[in-house]
Amino acid sequence: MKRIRFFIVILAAALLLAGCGDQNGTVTVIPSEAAAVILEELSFTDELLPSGETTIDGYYPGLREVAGDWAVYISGSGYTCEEIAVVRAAEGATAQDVTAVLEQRLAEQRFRYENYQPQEMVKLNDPVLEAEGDTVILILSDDSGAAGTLARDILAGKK
Amino acid sequence: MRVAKKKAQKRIPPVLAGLLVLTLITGASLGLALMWQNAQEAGQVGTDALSQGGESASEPEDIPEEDPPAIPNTVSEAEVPAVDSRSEALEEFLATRRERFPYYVQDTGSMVDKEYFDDALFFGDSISVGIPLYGVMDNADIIAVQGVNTLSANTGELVLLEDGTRVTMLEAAKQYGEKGKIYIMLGENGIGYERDRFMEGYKTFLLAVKEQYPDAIIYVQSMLPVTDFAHENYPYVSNDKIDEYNVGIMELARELGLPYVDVAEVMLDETGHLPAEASPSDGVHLTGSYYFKWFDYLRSHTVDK
Repeated sequence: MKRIRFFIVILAAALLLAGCGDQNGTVTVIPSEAAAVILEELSFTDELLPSGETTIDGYYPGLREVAGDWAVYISGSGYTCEEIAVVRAAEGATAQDVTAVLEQRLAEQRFRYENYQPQEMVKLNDPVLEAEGDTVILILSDDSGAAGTLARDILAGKK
Repeated sequence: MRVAKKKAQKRIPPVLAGLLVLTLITGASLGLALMWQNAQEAGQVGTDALSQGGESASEPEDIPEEDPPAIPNTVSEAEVPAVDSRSEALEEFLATRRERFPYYVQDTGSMVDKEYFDDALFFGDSISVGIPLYGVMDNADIIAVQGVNTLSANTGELVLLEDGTRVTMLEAAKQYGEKGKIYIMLGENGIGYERDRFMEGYKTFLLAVKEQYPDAIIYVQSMLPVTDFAHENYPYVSNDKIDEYNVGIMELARELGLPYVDVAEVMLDETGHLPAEASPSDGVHLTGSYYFKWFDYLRSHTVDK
């Protein structure tokens, strides 16, 4: 009986401590880490290259105004529209603001690929575009099912 | 008596024992949590250094503001494999080929500095889209549109401006002001057109460029070759046809008094094709190492105004 009581106390302590790990349930996604996970876990036919400070405005006009942190990878060849964008909204901006910028990029890519590589329209018309809290993830890949699951897992803090 | 005392010391009330264990576990856990938090904060700084957002711009000075290092599935200049030096067979092939291209910019024997491209503007199609991404020439301005050809380059409203309007490539170029050098590479998407129509469109574009940039050196670049894979998958594309049209582009450039830069020659292997490793995706679009070959070629093939 005493042993049982002892283990109950231990169990209660463990449960109490486990609760400390997730105080408010929010998940903080670090874009560069999330993009690395996406690149590792999904298959892309093209070389995806990081778009940094010197090139981002040409691909995502207006992103700087709404993004606090971001990682964007773009098809190097331009033959496919494969792409990854993980963006955390800046202070004063929202995930909706970020999504609007990403939607603008999608619209431009649809315009460019419609007659150039029509087969890419499958990805562009059914993109993975997931948002949670202040973070938005866009993935254009051949496997939108796996990409969608991965994006949701990242946003839920499971990856 | 001693035994009884010893027995009394050994018996600690169970509730007290439980509280003691709880206190120990709590203390240890809090300690570990603090250590974990510190480690995470240290890692956060390192991670921000790799990201490109505005928040990271205020990080310490030793954090570069350039593109982050490449990670799996990506390439960077550092990872670009060395390209084999030319074989004798290739030299023979190129010597024969050059007989068809007598009017091209010769190798100067040295390379101009990167600053040469400070006032350069590139017009191109999807192949040129990769120029800024690969970082081969980040000081030049690029107007490149997937799918553009020698006809649509003139009239197609293909470039989206910041105000939401769409304009032609030449109209879009005005946002970059005066330029000292213009580099043009077009044609791959128009290879399906009859030669006369293809050349007519190209001539119209070159004349418009000359009019817009009367003081600039306007380099007309050759189209690039494709791999065997492209031959199999795109029946209307062949390297014989590309070079046939390249001869036409060279003649057109000469007619207009413009330097013709035969970039194709540095892309060919001894069989007259683009090597497979240069374009594993589709046989047309280049990988990183070949962008660097391209720009090394441009740096060693220049002319004075």
